[in-house]
Amino acid sequence: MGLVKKKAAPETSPAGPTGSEAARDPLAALEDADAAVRRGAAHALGHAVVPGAEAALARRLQAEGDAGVREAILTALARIATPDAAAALVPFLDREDAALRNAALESLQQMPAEVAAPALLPLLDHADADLRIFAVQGLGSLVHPGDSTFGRADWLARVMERDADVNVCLAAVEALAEAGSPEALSSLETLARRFPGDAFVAFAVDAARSSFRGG
Amino acid sequence: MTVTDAEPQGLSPEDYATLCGFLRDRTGLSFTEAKRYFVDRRVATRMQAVGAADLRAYMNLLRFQASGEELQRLVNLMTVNETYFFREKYQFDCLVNSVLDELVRGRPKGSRLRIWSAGCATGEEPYSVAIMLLENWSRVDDYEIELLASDIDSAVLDRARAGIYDERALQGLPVHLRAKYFQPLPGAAEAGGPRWQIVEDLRDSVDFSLVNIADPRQVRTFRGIDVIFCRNLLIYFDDLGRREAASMFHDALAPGGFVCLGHSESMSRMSSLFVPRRFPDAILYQKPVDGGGA
Repeated sequence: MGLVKKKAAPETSPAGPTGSEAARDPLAALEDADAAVRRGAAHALGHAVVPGAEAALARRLQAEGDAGVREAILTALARIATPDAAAALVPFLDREDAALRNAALESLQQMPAEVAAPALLPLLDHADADLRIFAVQGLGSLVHPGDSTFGRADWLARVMERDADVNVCLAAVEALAEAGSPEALSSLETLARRFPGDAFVAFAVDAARSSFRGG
Repeated sequence: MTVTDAEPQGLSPEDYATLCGFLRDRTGLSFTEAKRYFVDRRVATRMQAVGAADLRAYMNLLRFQASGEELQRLVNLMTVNETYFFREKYQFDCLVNSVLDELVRGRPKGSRLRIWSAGCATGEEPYSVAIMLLENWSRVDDYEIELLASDIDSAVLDRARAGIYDERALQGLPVHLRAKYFQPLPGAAEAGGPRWQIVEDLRDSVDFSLVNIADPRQVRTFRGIDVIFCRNLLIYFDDLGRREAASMFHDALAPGGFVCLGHSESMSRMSSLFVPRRFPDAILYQKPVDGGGA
């Protein structure tokens, strides 16, 4: 025993066009009994333009129990990155399953800001504070070349000045510190005044102020 | 872009984006604007070689050539393959001191272990694994150990199979191991410095293959793997490419199998499918024993 001697095997080029059962009819393969076929189908849908793919992927994700297939679906939706794909992910932010919730948020964060932001912004007004935190976290990490059009500073300011839940506000402070948006300084001062007795708010606001001053 | 100029003019921003999007889609390799000079030079070289008048003609060749030969040549130029024996040795120490013993717990003697070096370049990594196993894992003869190695670059695979290395690649290897597993090549000093070749027995122990890990069809043959080494390869992928690669590895691994990444890479920033495991020598990422499924 020990090291096994290799067998001679014919070599295929990695450069040729890809194709498989899943690639031929990925929508049907998405419902296959074999998890490997479903994974392949999800991957194929992420790399092709197939009408209805977003809805089919979201439907499959609702029922999918295999972690690998779920991840393939979430990655495919991030790669498709249409408004429909972003909208299909939003309901999963509300799921009990923390891993699924986080992975859905990660997929939204991996989409272009102009696609993900319109899906996430309405959640800032949702009644559930946890969902508002998710929205802030998702929006805060989006990268957009023209940040002023995306209006990051505006919605961050709105959250800090108006949201009733201190944890949502603190999520906004964290996003603000990471984004380095000194134009939101006045909103930080407002937040400190809104929660005067909260030591952690004072600490977070100080930390954000310091980061804008370069230390 | 013309290719007749002595100094390449570079791709237009639109052409650059088109080419990079195509490469990302087909190979997983991601090139940002910071890599523009690197990419421009290599594309210009290949366009000149095939006589493509402009990028459109060259892209048509890349997209539709049945053999895929030109895409392979371009990929070979685009990948960096600098490595050496026993690079980041602490991870090999982790393999022989902790991981393998855990993996074989409960397995009968004679059962098979599969180790895959993904992105093996010129072969230093899989051969290092082979040497570490033979030298430092006392139970090596109790199991059938299959060493698989793959790369997207066909030229480096030819070099890996030949197993010929210069002094730089062998710098981290103790003298007694060099004497045991390498043979000096006669007359090599005149051809640019001394070179050594891995002994045939060891060369025959690593199964090299051409694989694009961004293509699920090609990765499908890798199943039931116990340990994957994928070090300093995913740094060439974008976030989504890394996430997809992590999924591929999850599929390829047996339940409880491990992924070993480069020291600057973290699976937790790519995928939530794996559990980090801290061993005395290194941190590895494990596929949950239950597969992570519901």
